[in-house]
Amino acid sequence: MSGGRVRAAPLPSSENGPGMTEPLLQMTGITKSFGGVPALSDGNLTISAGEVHSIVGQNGAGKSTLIKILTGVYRRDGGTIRWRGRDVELRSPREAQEAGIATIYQELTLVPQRTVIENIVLGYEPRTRFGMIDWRAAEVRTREVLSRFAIDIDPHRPLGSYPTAIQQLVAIGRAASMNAHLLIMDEPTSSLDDREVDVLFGVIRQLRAQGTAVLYVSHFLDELFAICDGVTTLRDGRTTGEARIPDVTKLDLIAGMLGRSAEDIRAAGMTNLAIDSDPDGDTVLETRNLASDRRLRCLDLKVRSGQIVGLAGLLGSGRTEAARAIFGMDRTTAGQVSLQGQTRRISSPREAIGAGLAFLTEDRKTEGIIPDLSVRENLTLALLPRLSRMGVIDEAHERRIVEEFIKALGIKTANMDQPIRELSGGNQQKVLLGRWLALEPRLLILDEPTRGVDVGAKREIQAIIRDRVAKGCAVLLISSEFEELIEGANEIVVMQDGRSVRRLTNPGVTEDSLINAIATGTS
Amino acid sequence: MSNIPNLRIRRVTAQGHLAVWVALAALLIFGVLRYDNFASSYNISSFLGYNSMFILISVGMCLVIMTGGIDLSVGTVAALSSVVAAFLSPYGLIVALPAGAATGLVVGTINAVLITGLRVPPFMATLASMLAAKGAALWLSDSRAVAVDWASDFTRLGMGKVVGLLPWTILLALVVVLAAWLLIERSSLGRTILAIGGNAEAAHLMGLKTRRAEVFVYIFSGTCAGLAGVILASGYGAGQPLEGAGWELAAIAAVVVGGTLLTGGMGSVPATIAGALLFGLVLNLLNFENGRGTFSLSANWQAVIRGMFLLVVILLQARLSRPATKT
Amino acid sequence: MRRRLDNRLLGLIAALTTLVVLNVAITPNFLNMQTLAVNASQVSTIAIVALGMTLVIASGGIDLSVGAVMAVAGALAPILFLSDWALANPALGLFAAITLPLCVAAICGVFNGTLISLLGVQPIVATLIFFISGRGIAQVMTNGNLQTFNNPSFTWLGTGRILGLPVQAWIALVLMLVIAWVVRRTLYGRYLLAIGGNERAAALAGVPVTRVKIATYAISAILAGLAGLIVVAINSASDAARIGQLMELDAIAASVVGGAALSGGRAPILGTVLGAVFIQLMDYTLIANGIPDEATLIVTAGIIVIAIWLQSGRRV
Repeated sequence: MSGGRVRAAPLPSSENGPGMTEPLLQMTGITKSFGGVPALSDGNLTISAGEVHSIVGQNGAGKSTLIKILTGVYRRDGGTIRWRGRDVELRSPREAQEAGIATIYQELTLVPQRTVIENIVLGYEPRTRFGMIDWRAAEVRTREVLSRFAIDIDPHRPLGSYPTAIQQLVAIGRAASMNAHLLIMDEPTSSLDDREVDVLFGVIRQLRAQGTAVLYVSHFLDELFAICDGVTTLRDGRTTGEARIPDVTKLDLIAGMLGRSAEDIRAAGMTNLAIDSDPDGDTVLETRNLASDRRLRCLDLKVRSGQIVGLAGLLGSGRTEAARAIFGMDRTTAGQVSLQGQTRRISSPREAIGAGLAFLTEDRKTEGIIPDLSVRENLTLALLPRLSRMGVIDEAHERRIVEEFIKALGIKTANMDQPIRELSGGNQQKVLLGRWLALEPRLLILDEPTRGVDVGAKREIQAIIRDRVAKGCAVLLISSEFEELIEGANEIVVMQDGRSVRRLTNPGVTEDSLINAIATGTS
Repeated sequence: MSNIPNLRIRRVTAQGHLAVWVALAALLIFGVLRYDNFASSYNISSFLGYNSMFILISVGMCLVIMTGGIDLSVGTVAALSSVVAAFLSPYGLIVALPAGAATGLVVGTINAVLITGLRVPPFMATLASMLAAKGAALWLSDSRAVAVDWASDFTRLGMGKVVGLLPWTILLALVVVLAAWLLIERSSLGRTILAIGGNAEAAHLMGLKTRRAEVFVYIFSGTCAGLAGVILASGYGAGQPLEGAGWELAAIAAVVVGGTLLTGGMGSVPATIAGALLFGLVLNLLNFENGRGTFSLSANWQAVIRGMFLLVVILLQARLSRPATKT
Repeated sequence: MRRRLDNRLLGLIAALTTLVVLNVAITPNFLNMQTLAVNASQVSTIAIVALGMTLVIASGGIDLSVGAVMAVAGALAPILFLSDWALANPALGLFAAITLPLCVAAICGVFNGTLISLLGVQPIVATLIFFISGRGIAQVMTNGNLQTFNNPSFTWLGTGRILGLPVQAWIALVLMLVIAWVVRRTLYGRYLLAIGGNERAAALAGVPVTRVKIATYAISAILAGLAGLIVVAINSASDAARIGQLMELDAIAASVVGGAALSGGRAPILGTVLGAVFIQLMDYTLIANGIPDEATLIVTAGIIVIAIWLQSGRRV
């Protein structure tokens, strides 16, 4: 998996780190089951003081379970945790925090409506003699923290009035001010642009220099090579590898995660997409100067039937916003959209669907699946108007279609009436893909369609997409995985700051040229 | 994933609370200018005395709502406690007051156990305890009002005044309000209550003692309701098992009007009090208008006006927070 | 999911059967027609309102205004058919006295639904408005007076019998079947469950969320209006101060005991009716065996708590 970013060369890892004394953290033989199903059967993790360490593994490998045991959210079934030289029981998040293990979650868990000061000291407010909160001392502590990390903001304003990057730094500052010995960061860069990531890395190096260990969890492997000293690999609930970063390559890590040899992967090509269609079809979608009230400034795009157009760019470049504007989720403030040569105003997803568009969103949990409904009900949700007459659903027809799709997409489910929440991530994604494919759309917009999906399902989904394109569907593909774009897209549009800035045509695009285009923006 | 500084949050926070004070001031000025006896000591003291019960219940409800919960039992708990206090009135305030408060405390504890222990959603748990309290009140009192013992000092709370001007009841309410405000502003428990908001899970992950906070607010709310019941019995001379219907919703309305969101995270004790006073003021003004004879507004209209008032406030708040809630 | 629901339903049926058996054993006169009719009559009004409440809860909301809407409808009907015009055209008058209150109720529901879906007001707060003011409106309409009347065609709605069972019980039964079918087999029903399950996902999939929500609150209000008419018919009197008092609580209790989840996404229709029956039967068992009225409130409270606790226990 690649994240595709430009990185400064990594600093040499601290030489006097691991090995000198007993490590800061040693988790050995951790086991944990949920309802009889084992999530971890042999979890091991060793981190030294002042080390930046990482855990990698696919979904379902046990990564998040191990971390939740470390942070006190779960109780382990077996194994030992040795923290700062002693065996410990971490029974709650507060206990973990008081032991010196602080976590910064991906969905920041601070309180945006309250001020920066309140957030920094929340739960650990300094007291006066009478036991009441000493707000002046709180402000002093806050300013100390802010200056330590060079965050120049007014601490009296609500935290939510600052961008996510700042909020994250405040979260880190809070953790650091609580004298944490180990800081766990969960997908910290997912909302940051390149500049902000550099600031973050600077902060991490600072923490490392003062002896704080960092557990850095991210699926962007390139980042790990830029900032981490060591890495632990998990697969199927067991730790399969512990190594120092200079000693491994990206391919080694992926091989370790998949349980395949590095050579096999290299030989098979990274994805299941291939450009084999002749982009000669009719123009399905064309946008000119499209702008929305949500950060999209100027989008020029053209997608033909039988063609895949990729949208590339850093996070925050406006790719998802582009999709949302096209699909009618955000209000258009300028420019125009034409479908099949006719200018259209689309102001709701419902209208978009009616016009032949489909949109598989990034986050299937919050915007995709209806957890309590069955596979069948989820799959046909968008198709229902066509399956009903006078408001009554034709159940026989519905079942026929669902059966077709279960077979065609290889959805692993006990039966079509199984609640969708019981399916694995990959299969859920397939159901959602089915929801949109069932509409037989003219344009299919896919936002990170293979994210959070295991490698096997990933390839199946890519095959399905390729198949549809061959049948004439037009596809707009947003992906952070460069291989998908390079190997699958006829054309790649690079976005930056809400604008489309470059167009690259395939064949001919390489990872380097793509990264180059993203980094430099306008040619 | 927003990289745009969200200035709207700041605006909503400030405006949500500011609006109620402005409205309160406007109505006060209107009343003083229009009606002769509006600013009289009689009107002020009887207004404050009557609304002290609602102020108490509202402040309890405010804390509960700050944690993202709700307490539907406050009305019937007040009724129950008024019955208990009336029964114990012969022993004087020194027994009856704590007894009434304790009644509320007990129900509050039951709520807390149901909600934090058995994980029953607050709406259902307090719905159940509301029914149970009502049943208990009717049972104890035989479905009749329970006269208090006029010989004891019990009625001094409800009908007496400090320095001849300020009713004891409002003083009691003020003390509780002040304590609550101090708690929220200056104690760790209070900050935790404020931070829980609609996301207890996130607060827990942050290491906050969420359980303690949740237990506290329901016990506090129950105790406030208990005190309100004592005031009820003491001020009207009888414990009233049938009273209290709809009180919880009046309290919710006061909290909402004061700008504390039902989704939690934002809350202000003073603004809630202002909200309670605002509702009371509307009625007070209506009575005056009635007295003027401009139009004759029967008691029935009061409920309608209250409802319309709530509607206007809700619409205003919807307009204010609208941009921030767009998906 | 269907499996789990069936478990819960079976549990409810089992509890119900136990109660019935218990009553046959210890309560005098339990099995005679009169008792059955009285019980059926009381349950029916609650069940009708609860059906609407279940739909609202399934959409992820709540409707506190049902009692007030009952009062408004119940106040409006006698005014209509006691008017001079109605007395002159009795058939038309009767028709108007039934349909107009239902229309007014529908408008209240649309009002609620609009506040909630278009303005984003929370359901508790939005329906609070009518809760606070609705009864007042009804009282204003009747000038606070109790209205009595004598109109056999109208009162048939409340006191008539078909095959020994009260008319309203039949109405409740028919409504239950119709609504169950609607939830399972129609576009609206599927959309309702989707919205309650994950509103954002539903909107993205093209579900007309606003329309469905407004319709749901309208249905709830219409059913409440119907219940109001029935209550008025039963008593041959319309007391705006008392119709539908605490009805919202009874309805919510029935829905929850029947298996509805307050977070939305589930609409157990049969369960709702059985829930109403269960609570009613429980109350009756106590009262008929000498336990004071007030205690039944406590027991109902206990039932609600147990039902919720069981629900949260089973849910993964």
